[in-house]
Amino acid sequence: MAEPTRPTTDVALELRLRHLAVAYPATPDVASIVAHRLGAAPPRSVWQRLQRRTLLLAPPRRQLAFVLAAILVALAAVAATPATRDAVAHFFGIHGVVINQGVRPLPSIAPRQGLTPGPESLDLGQEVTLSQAKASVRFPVLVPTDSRLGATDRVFFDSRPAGGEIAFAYLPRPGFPAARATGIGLLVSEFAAGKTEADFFGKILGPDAKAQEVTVGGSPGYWISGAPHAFFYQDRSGQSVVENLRLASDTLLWEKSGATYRIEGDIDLTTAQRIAASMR
Amino acid sequence: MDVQQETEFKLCERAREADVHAYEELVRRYQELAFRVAYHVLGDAAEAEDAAQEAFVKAYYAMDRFRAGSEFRPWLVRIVANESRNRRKSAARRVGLAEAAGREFSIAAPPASPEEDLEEAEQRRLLVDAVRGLREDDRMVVGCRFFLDLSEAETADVIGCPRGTVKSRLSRALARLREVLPAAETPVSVRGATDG
Repeated sequence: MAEPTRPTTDVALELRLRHLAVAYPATPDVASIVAHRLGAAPPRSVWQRLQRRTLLLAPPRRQLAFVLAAILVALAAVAATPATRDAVAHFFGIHGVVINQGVRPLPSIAPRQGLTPGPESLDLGQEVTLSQAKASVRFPVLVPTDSRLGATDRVFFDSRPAGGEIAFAYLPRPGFPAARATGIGLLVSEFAAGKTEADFFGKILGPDAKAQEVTVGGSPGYWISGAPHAFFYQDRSGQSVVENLRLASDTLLWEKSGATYRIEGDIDLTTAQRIAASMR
Repeated sequence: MDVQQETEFKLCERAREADVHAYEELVRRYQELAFRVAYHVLGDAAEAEDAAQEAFVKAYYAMDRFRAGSEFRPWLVRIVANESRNRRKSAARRVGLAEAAGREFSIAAPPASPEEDLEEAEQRRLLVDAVRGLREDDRMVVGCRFFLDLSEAETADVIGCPRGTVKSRLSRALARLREVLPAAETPVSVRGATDG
């Protein structure tokens, strides 16, 4: 019998450990469950509309992708409260939350890096004058007239979504502190609402996000708070547009006269409603 | 690129284009590793399964951010590690650390095969017992580096420590392991082993 010795060097012990062929608890069949979650077919009526989308491979920074089901899966995955899921689902015109749906990977939602905070870092499109913006779209362009908010600093027009999108960017001012990621005080954006029968949009909600049904001047809307991750909507041509999270802050959205309006900033619902009421 | 790598490259490409079947194949290849990484962090097979599943789903959604041509495994390991650590944090808040710590970490040496020396099999069993008895941090660094063959960078991600400290952590873990190993052991019978 060989003389017993304790391994005196790390190397010896390392080699023994490497050759151990340790047995762990049995590996579960994760692949099948994941494939099922990612690949199972959703209810027909919704999916038929969704399936007409083509994936538009836009400039590298931005991809337009269809993600309704992804949002709902994401909701389920991050265990949003039942109230949130119902609110979002109701807005989509879907009864009961649809989960385990076929989805496409979400496009990149990282904000643009390396620029000083400001409207440029949000990729809002081209800077234009207000009259140029109004001339570029066919929906009613509403401008906030709230005296505490004051005048907009810069107006942008983005031609990429069908029907165009206008954004009013406000630098920080009293009552409208700089939002964390971008340094913007408030962002008001407007775009042509999607087809009425599939009139839906939403945010990809994180675990702490909440969506609350509200009314804005008689129009149906949502107040979404608590760090949503991204925002998507279906534009007039049926393309689904996913947008980077702009401000990582609370958002009031509503639809009126064929347009969707959105107010985002580090503000509460009362302030957002006040701004909304001032828009004309 | 060898055949294995090339196929993985293609699988990743297709997965980035929303080919669920391609992604499923990737999951199959890495589910054991993902599960074991999660098991080291969570110490419970059912929770590790959940964490691995969730991590793979999240990774699928993040595939567009995965740079074509880069290595899938380290990227995946990071996602699994983050998912597992997040779950451990919220589990600790829910069940209390004491209860969580009471779980038994079950790894085992494979049983002796007919042709091998019973003595060697016994030594293996003792060594595995010793590893199992290590405190969690030490067990994790030993497991990641030697059982799961993770790189230093991957190990750092799993533990949640700076990459530069993996070596020293491993040394300390091995030192503690040596302390608990029984005094009488057979020498390493591996070809090419350095003498002490």
